[in-house]
Amino acid sequence: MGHRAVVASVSVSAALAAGCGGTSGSAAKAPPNVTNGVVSMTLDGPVSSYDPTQASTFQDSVALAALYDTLVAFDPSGKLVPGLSDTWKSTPKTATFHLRGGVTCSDGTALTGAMVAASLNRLFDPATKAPLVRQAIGPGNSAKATSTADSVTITMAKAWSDLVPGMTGPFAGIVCPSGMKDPSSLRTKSAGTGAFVSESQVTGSSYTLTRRPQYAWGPAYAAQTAGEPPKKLVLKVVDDENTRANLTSTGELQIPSFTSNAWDRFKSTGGITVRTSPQSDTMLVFNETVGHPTADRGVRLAIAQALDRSVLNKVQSFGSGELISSLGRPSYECFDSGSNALVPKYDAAAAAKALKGVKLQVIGTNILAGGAANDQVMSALQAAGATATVRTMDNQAWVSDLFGGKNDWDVTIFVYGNRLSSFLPVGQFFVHDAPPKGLNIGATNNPEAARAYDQAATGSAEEKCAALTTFQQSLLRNVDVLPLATAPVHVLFAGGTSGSVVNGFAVPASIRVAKAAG
Amino acid sequence: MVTTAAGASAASRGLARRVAGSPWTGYLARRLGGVAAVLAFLVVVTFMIVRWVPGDPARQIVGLTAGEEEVRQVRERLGLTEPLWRQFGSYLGGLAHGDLGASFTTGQPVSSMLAQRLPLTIALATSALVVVLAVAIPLGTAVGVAQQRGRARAATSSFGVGASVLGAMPEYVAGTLLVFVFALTLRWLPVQGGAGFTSMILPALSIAIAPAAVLTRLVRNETATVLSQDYITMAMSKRLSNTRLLLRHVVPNVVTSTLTLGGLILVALLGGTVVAENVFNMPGIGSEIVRAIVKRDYPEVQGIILVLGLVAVLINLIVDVALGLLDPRVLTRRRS
Repeated sequence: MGHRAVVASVSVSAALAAGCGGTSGSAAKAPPNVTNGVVSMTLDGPVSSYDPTQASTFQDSVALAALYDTLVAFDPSGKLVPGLSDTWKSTPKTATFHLRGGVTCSDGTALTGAMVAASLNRLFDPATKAPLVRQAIGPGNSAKATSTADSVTITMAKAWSDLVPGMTGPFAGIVCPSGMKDPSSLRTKSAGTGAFVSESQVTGSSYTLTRRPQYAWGPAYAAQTAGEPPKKLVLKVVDDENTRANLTSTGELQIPSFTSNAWDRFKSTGGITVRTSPQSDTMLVFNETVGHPTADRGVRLAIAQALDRSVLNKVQSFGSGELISSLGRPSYECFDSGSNALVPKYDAAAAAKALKGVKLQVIGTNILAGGAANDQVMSALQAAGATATVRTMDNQAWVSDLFGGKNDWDVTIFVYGNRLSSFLPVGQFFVHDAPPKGLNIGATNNPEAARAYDQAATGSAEEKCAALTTFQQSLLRNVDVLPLATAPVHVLFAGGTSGSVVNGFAVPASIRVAKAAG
Repeated sequence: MVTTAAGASAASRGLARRVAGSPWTGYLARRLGGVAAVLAFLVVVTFMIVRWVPGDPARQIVGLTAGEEEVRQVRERLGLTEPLWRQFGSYLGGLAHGDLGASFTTGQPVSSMLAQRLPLTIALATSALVVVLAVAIPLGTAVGVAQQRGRARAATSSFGVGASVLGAMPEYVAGTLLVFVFALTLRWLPVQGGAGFTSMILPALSIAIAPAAVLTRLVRNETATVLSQDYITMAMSKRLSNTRLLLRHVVPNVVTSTLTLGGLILVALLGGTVVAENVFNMPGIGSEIVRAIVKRDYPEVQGIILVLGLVAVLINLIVDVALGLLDPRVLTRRRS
């Protein structure tokens, strides 16, 4: 889930947009350049902890990416690239990572295989209660890391084919011995091999990190930008996107990110680079619990036909998303290009024949554009003759509704921030037990898809892709899901800064300040 | 001097009689009783309200992909699996020891968060109050005098319109305009608030404009009322200077009502900081409470509301005491 904080006083946004030239069409003055090597970047909310194992939110990912390295990483195109490990090989139950040399911890200690294994074993230890560890090793699984001088091998009790992409997660950041000795210190103090080290913080407000001059490793793409790394990186929690834009205009912020159109004022401003990166995927999910109209495939198909996905894309992300044809993007491992033909086409006339008089409850989160797309779904269903009502909630209430087993809805736009560029994490929401016991939010009843999912989760690389194709195609044929569009984030680089963006956030190690600016 | 035991006893009895007979005793007892009742009410209501709002803090912490068991473990760690009465008991027990709990999101003790953020919010509200009083008392008095004497009719009429418009202006509109003019266009002042004197100017103005307009109108009306009293006519007939007349007869009468409203305005300004802190990205408790509500961070929401409530009742208590000192008649009046 994209953990964009939604401020209750969101009405401020509209006023600020109007008042601050959001729609004026006139170009804003170019923000001043960075003069002291201190670069500020936005965070969506407070960082839970500098302990990677406790990471759970989007903002945790941003902060931890600055402080810790992982064995492997994703590049901006979604491809797996070397991190602390330069080569790796895997089977369904194991993965061996060869470590690159010359890496040191922030206290100067040289990183060894034993240190990496110890850090990973702490992550895998159930007593650590790492919230997202199941993304790496699968639900209900256990794992153990062993080491040689220059490699680490992870062995799992049961097969899980997402182990390698799982090692890109912020929770898999390698903790150095000083942090391992006193894990409680990791709440506010980092102990990693990352490009930055923690300096100070005003909890929930700003987090100041200091550059490590000796940092010369990390993903290759991170070193490709011209200029100097910032001396300090300040991660500022700024909830309101119009305030982000205002702070950028005056040079108080250099790297803001936006999911709304608050950044429009910079479209014709010189000296600003915009990188648009998908942050979440959206899809329409149906409640197939017996007794709901959406338990009927005919009704689900009609609902899918009633919706013009391109209109929904315009509403939920101001047209900047891209339509998707499965549970994720083409950059994901095992993407099936054949799924596009299985997505129901917009056909209002056909929808009207099946939906006349059908009572439908739409629910949704306000996390994208205040939830305007939920209203759009309701309007389209009403236009098709259904008696549709909508309930838009804040993200927490929506999540509770879905996962609490209330079953008081028929249709929802599911928004999921997939950090692993893999179909397995998102696939969990369509198989096995319904909430509260399981994660199958729509009580999807598709045995073929469930079998294929299990095969994909435990099979070899080849078996995984074949099974995932079956899984996705089966869901689409049965209209268990209607893929909608990506929900991108626009990351701006102002004041002479530049950098790479992966999964919706600027990678701290890649940030540079142009020499003339700094 | 030698004091005998009998003498001391008599003295303390006398003191007790004086205290019991003082109008301040009943007055303060009533006010302190009110403070205690309000705080007790706040403790109960905030505890219940945060739990009635739909949303699971545990799911927020562990994320969507966590299984039932992980969510249950987090609920257990946060104490949310306990019966409500036991959770309330623990909360009360903590309060008795000055422990407001720890944030569900960051693990930081709520008292530390408050110590970090409350001073900024108080500084913002107080700065705004200074602006309100500095504008309202002289301007309202001047307009009241001019109006009463039939001078500068165009100006006093314009004042009425202007005060109405400004008084109805919400904080976010005021903040927007101020940012647009002074930060983005003229670049005289920063957008970021709370980082030094200049960074407090725009946030303070954004929440001070509307109450300043309202209070100015009140002072104008009070001034006009006072100036129409017989004793003022008498004073004027004695050819007192205008300054003396204002300082000796008008201002003291206006201050009582201004002070009463000033207390209420300060409490309202504390509420206004929620918007200002978001517009100006200030790390105060106004911005934090919004985040805490969104994240269902029960201890933070409870702690912030309780402390804001405490500040509000203390301000009202101080105003009551000040009113008692200025006008002792209120000591014997039943509270309306």
